Amino acid sequence: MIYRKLMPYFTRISFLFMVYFFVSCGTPKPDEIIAFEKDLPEKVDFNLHIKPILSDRCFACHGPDKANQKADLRLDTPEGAFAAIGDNLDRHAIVPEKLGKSEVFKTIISDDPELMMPPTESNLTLSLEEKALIIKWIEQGAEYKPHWSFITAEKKDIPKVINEAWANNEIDHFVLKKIEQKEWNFAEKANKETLIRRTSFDITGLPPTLKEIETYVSDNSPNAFEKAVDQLFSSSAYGERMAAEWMDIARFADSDGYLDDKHRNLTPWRDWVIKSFNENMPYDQFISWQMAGDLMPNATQEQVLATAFNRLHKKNAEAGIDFEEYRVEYVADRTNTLGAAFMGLTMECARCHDHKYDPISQEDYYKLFGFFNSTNELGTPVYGPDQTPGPSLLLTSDEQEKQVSFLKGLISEKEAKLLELGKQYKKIPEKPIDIELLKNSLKTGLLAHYPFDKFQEKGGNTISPNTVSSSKPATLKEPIIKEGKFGKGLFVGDYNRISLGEKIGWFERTDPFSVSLWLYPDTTYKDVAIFHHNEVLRLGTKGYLMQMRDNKIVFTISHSWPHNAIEVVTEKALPIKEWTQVTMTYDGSSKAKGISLYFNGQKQPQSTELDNLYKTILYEYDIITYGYNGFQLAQRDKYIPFKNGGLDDVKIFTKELSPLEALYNFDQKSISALDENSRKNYWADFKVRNNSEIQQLKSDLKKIRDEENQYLKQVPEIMVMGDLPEPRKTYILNRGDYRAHGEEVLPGTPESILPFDDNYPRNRLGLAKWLTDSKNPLTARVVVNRVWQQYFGKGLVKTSDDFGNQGDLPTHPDLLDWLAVDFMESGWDLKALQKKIVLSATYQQSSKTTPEMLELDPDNIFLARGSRFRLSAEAIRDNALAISGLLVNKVGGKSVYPYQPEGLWDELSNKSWRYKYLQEPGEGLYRRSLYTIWKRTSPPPGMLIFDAPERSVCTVKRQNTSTPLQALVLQNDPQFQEASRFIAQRMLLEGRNDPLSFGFQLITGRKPMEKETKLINQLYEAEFENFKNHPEKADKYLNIGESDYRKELPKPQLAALAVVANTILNTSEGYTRN
Amino acid sequence: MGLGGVALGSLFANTKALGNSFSQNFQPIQGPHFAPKAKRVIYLFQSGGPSQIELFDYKPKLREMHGQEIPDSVRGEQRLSGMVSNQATFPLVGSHYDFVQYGKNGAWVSELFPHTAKVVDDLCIIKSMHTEAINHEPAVIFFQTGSQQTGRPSIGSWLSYGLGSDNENLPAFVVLVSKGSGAQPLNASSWGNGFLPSYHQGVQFRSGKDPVLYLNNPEGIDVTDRRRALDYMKDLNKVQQELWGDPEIESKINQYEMAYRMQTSVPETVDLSNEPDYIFDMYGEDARKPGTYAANCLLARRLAEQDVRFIQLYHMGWDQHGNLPNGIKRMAQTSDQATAALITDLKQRGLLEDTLVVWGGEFGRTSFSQGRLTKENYGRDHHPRCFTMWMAGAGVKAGYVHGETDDFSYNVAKDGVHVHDFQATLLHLMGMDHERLTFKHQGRRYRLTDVHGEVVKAILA
Repeated sequence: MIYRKLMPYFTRISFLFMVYFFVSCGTPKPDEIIAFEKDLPEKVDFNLHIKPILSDRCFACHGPDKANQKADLRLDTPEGAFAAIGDNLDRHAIVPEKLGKSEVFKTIISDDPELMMPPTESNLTLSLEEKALIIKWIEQGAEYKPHWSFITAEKKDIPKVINEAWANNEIDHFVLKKIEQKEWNFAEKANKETLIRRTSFDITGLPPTLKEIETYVSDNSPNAFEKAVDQLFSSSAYGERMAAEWMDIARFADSDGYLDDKHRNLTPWRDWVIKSFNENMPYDQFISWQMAGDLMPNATQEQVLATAFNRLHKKNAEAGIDFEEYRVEYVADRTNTLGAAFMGLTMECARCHDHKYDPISQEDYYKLFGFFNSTNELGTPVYGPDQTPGPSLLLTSDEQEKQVSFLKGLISEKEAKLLELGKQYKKIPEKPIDIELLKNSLKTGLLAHYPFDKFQEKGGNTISPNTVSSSKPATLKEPIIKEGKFGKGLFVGDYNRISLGEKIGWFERTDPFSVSLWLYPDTTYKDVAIFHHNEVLRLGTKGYLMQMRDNKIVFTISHSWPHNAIEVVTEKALPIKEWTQVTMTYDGSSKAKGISLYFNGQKQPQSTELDNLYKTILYEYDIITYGYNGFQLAQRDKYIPFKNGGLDDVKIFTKELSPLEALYNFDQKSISALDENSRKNYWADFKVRNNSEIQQLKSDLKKIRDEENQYLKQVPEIMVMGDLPEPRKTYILNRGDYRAHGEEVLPGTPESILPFDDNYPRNRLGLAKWLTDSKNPLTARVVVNRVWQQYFGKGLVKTSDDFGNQGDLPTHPDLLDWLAVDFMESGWDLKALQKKIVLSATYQQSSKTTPEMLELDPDNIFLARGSRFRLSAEAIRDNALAISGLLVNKVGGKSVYPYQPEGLWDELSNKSWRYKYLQEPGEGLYRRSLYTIWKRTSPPPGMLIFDAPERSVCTVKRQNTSTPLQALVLQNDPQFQEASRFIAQRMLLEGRNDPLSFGFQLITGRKPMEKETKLINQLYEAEFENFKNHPEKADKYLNIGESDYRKELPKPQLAALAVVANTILNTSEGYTRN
Repeated sequence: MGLGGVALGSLFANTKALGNSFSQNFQPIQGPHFAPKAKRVIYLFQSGGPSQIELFDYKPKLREMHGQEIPDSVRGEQRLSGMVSNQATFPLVGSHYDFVQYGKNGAWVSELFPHTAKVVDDLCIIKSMHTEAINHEPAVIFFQTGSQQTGRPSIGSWLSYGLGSDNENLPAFVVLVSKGSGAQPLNASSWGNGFLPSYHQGVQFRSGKDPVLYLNNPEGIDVTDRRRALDYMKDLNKVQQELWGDPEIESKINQYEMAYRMQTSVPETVDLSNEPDYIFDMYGEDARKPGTYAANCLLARRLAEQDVRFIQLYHMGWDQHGNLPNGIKRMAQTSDQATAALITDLKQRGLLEDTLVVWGGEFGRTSFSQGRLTKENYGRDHHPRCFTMWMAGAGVKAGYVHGETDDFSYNVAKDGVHVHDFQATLLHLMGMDHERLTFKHQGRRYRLTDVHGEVVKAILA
């Protein structure tokens, strides 16, 4: 560190004089710069000394952002800095060793507002020592070096140290070397009680039990500590502690965020994370699965489940959004998360323009964006009953999987049989078509028929009869009646609507059905709805829907569009200004090819848009659905109407019409117009369909399909990744605006970090391979640093979220690199890495400090003592639960609702469907904090108050603050008061002769010192007196929370001990790991 | 270092003694960048998007052209929200309510706001506000944090961070959410501290027995008991400090003392029972019901008296997509009297001189009807292109109208004020230069105004 001096008095006149004076005779350096020189390092290093300054003060205008480079000058590369400025071949920003010729020098020492750099309007300045450093660097040759974190890490030799005996492992050599260079001493080893508590919190997030402390303290074997550590790593609590951090990184929450903040359940993914940590899954595999599990060969359910990582972002369900705006937002979130979580880079800076500080161009950004851009998703979540925004994964248990496979097997078997019988029985019939049989067949299948020829006013509405069932007429809202195809017909305006009565057309995906109607398009329509029996988009368009797109007919059947749906579209368009009969038929197979579309009785060539329907399509009531309108035509909320178009003669059939029936239904006369061959074929086909054996088989098949449909209703689903068959095109988005498509780019990675291997596929799987490539300079460093942060409170790179030019340099670069390489060599073994850290002498130092050391190294950069920091939000609460004995040690499962002040969620929303905070009696109150329900618009207040992030975006580093609100939580939250009572109960029941000392030890992990014993005894006496004199206060105080205390215990004692327990819990050591 | 020379603010004035583990992030400077005009802000956020056309932006032309399609030349390229993008026609609709000119400058105010009309000489009305967001949550978050996505600090947090607090017993940034009618939900991120240290979080004061979360002592523990335990806690902490030598422990002791003071000061502040009847008459009967907008306006005055730096109210329910004439009338009734009373009350007490009051929502509403236009009824969709807000009090011109919209209240015609301009102006009035109030996070210096914003000099007194 350079010693900061006061700036001497310095006038403009003397400055100008100096410049003129020196320019002619060499190096014109101002005196006060020269005054600094003796404090400068002998050799100025670009990475260590210069780049942090250039990046912070110069790169915003003279850095990697090409579009915003002022004066066409960039200082982040030597080529840029040494080149001639603009057209003037004699002017250079930097001429190595030639100060007088370097514009940088002239401008940084200038105080002329026209000349000086950084300019006044930037609000940036350079200190004198910073100027002196830059000047000396130029004088020494202005040597540029590549950015440290972009160079592949290598293991350097383990440094030799004087005090070899202190070192437990390699880590200590690197650390001690620096301490010895400083001629400081390392700290003494922490005592055993402190060490086991520290290690237990760091590894499991929980305190050691008294028994664990005792076992370790009394174990005098040389590997006693290692045994204790191994024990901790093998505890399932380890996975929970690791998962808690990963949930910040993955921005995990139980709700979507944004206005409506609908809830969702992604806890199976969280449980997978816990399990993977506990099984010590190699980190490269752990992140590869999360990036691209779905793209792995023969992907298992677990691999696909892992990809939920990229679906954990917020989702906007507000009614008025432009879906594309938010789809792009989600893809950007994944890209930013990739940067922050795995690469330690602030990617989002390059979303609107080239990165200002790091060599990440806007093109690089959209190349990475391209990897995530092909997800088959909507910009809104879907949230109806049993709706999961696709792509999604059915989370079948092993048993369910068996049952589903069994049913699917039966279905395929029957389908094959049907096909076979069809071929077998299809014979060219000898007899001519039996028109009566045909008529009869059509008639028996006809559910409803609306000729729209007669109209009648009824109760403020117009009704039009259904010739099949007189009790179920169509209800018309503001009908426009004109000449139709036959007699009258109905036309569409802006606000009229046709509803076909209750339960008309109520079909499940296993039901064969058909609909025919006549349409009169007035023009070519871009995208309009014709008829619908479905929910709105945000409810998955559950049901079926006919639309017209450029006058082509689109028919869709959905559980949750577009992921769980089938959709076909005709090749031909309907002619305008004439009537065409459109018929759709469906066979109940849940397959796109089970849908046929006919124009005027002619089967139409069609293409399949979607073909993945596997769950029910029937409306189901739920508090967030909007009620169901049944089968409707004409105007529909959120759909563009078929304006000025005509509708006539609507028929609904409860069967799949055969081509012959479709033709006959179009025009009875058309049969006779068929040529001989066609007629025979049609008739043969009709006969086969009506063969009694085939009919029986179809009926059997439907039963099994129904059974499968019913069975799948109980199988939960989860959002995962899944790409479209054809990748979606990716464009650079100008200014980051989703509407402003620039140049098209292909998925790829920034060259400046590591070129993308041509052998890798250009999808997320290739991205995962690139990330975990041993040559990748970032991935291992970033995670090793984060792990270090877990054990020391801060990383070797303090900015664990920024390994770029603006980030801090590593305090121990060689150690970081050594650990990163070693970690990769170990097979990305997280437990091994952590064990090495914990077993190091560095880690085991006492965290006691002295005023001298605080002065010398306030931030403990050189690690000449142990670190001491406040516990995380989760650990503070978990600790109270654990030591009070209330903690329910159950791993995984749905999120729980522990104590929360009443009404918090209600205050934010008056919606009838708003979610209620349903505090749980029993175990939900006492689970570890990572299981607490996380509602994005109202996260658990106790967590936020202790610095948990909102989980809006990926967070890799929490703050560690201290505020009065924290004091209020620990003193007054019923969770902590109840825990204090249970600690008191343990003091009475287990504390034998010295309950106070026992309680102190429970809470702090150590026995009280004499002064402390005295204080807690005094406090106890005072409290005991208080509660003895005011039994009503004890009654109230002991009544907090849901769990009853042992009623045989004396109340005043118990209450007094509870106050003492809460007081100790509120002292620094009560929520600090020492 | 000149830049990033940002103040260490804090929840409480005396909390500047931070543990050195994170003190490096903050380079404390003394006070504001320049002499402030306002010492505190009361921001009356009208959530949902109040229709400028029925309240302040008088447009006879809309009545003239009532029912006619909005001209393409007016609509231009403005994107529509998904609520109306499938609508086939866009008929213009005039205000159902009449307007009269009030005050010395003859500002037009709707009949829906009779009380506001009476204080119009104190208001600086901005008719030319515009924003970028078109949906509620992003628009609210944009107003409060300068970004449409959650995760950045809100205005109150920035001011707490930049200026600290003038009251050692109350938070610098207090939030009051009025219990409203059926309305669009709020997001607690609106008063979040983002990447700023947590003590700059807005602290919600709630109606009911626990005005601040976890404020009350547990049942059976009274103030003397708490004091006793705190004294022992302090002594125990001092022993620990000797043991570990960690200066952070001293900071924690201070936090506990402040928490203790809050336990007295907050209930005193929120207790309206000593307010005289004439005050309730002025704010309206609703002010007697805790948690209503009117009660919160009155509470805001009390917080202002206590020098709370930033008092943020939220009043939800201005989202009239349909049935606007009735809906907006109901909302106006809940908002008008208490708002005007607050201005009058502050003025009477001499507080309006150094308090800035802000009234406004996250966007305006369309001049065409959403859904069907009938004789008596219509709706209006979200409209980001122009809307009305007002400021009053410290540092802004009184009895002044800034900016104009076109004849359709669809586009800004003159002197547009972007959300970032509004934010820059607000900071300016508080003595902060919006370009210098920065916080370095992940390598970048963030500002409330991102890289935009101009102080609206024309409205400065």
